[in-house]
Amino acid sequence: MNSLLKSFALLACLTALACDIHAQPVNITPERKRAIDSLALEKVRDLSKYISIIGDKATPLTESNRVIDRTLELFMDGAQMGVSSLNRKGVRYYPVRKYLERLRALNYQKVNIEWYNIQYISDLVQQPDGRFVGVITIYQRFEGTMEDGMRYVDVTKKDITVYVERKQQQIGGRLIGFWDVLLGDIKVTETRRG
Amino acid sequence: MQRFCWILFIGLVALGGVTSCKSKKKIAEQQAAEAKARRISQAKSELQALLNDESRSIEEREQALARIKGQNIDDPEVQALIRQVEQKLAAEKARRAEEERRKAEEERRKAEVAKAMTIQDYFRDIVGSGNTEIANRRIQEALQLFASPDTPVLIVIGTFNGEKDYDRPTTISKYLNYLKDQKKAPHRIINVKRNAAGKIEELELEKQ
Repeated sequence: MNSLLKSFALLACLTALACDIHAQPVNITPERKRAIDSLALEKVRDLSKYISIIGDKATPLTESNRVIDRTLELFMDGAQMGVSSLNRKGVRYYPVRKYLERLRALNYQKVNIEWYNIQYISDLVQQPDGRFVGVITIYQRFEGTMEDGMRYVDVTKKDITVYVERKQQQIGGRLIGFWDVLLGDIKVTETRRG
Repeated sequence: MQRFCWILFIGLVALGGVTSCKSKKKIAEQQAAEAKARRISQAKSELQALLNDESRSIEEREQALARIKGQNIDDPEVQALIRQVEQKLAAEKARRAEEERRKAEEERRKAEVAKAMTIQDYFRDIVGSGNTEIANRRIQEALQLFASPDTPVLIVIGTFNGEKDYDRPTTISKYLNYLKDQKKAPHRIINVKRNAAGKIEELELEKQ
């Protein structure tokens, strides 16, 4: 019984230590926080450009494949993208790769996607596990033109959950500390005619 | 009687001679002691001056010290001062060497960044190519400057309390394609590391 208690105490200690290793809130100055905020916004702007390249019918397949891979690097594993349409109710969610592949295969002769008003609606806030989590909202104007000239245009408002985590990587024999920005689910909160 | 007088005379002369020799030796010893004291005093004041001297070069002060050491003055205070001066000069030499090393490193870094201007030119070309094919060609050319397409690229997002904060490290191949995709060159080169073959093996950029 005594040894069982000892084992339990040891396990509890090890668990507490393990939690402590992961939960390492970093003390940061407002200036440093601004740099992180700006970095996360930049990643969303990068995503906006990638989406427009993938959607563009003029983009060669090899290029769009490469850009899809780069786009996936911006997201957390398992992240989903919400898709809405003026022609149906509700929002469908797809894993990001599937969403990008569907976007590339859209049945339009020309697709133009533009993101604007990219801003935080919920500031990055540090969580007990040390990660920063916030929400960035964007407006997307989608314009698809059919061969016969018919146009479909909508504007959707999307909320992107953003995670920023402090990580380290060995480079050239030294340990580099960096902020890893990863995008989570993208939710559609509003869809209207453009 | 006359004989006795002669013996007395010779004795007196001999006695006088011995006394005179003894006093000459004493004088010589005294003179030597005085000279030594003067040398010690002179050495001490010169060594003190060396300890406080900031105007002469290290080499000049080393020569002055060597002169004093060459006198082989057997005096504990002089020896202690010599050690102090030696320590001071050694510390100054180490500081100077460190400063020279830092200067050389800074010069090397500046030269590397100046050379890297060609890379910055490639960055601009890729961004402004306006055509995927041309951009890809420029990317291939630019990659020739690097040790491999996987050469690490570090992007500083800010420096806080002397500590650099980075974006997620990337590779040169990905970075050049990033420039092509995003059609913007938002970073400037701040550090370039090359391998023995002169190829870039690490690139450090900063948000501009």
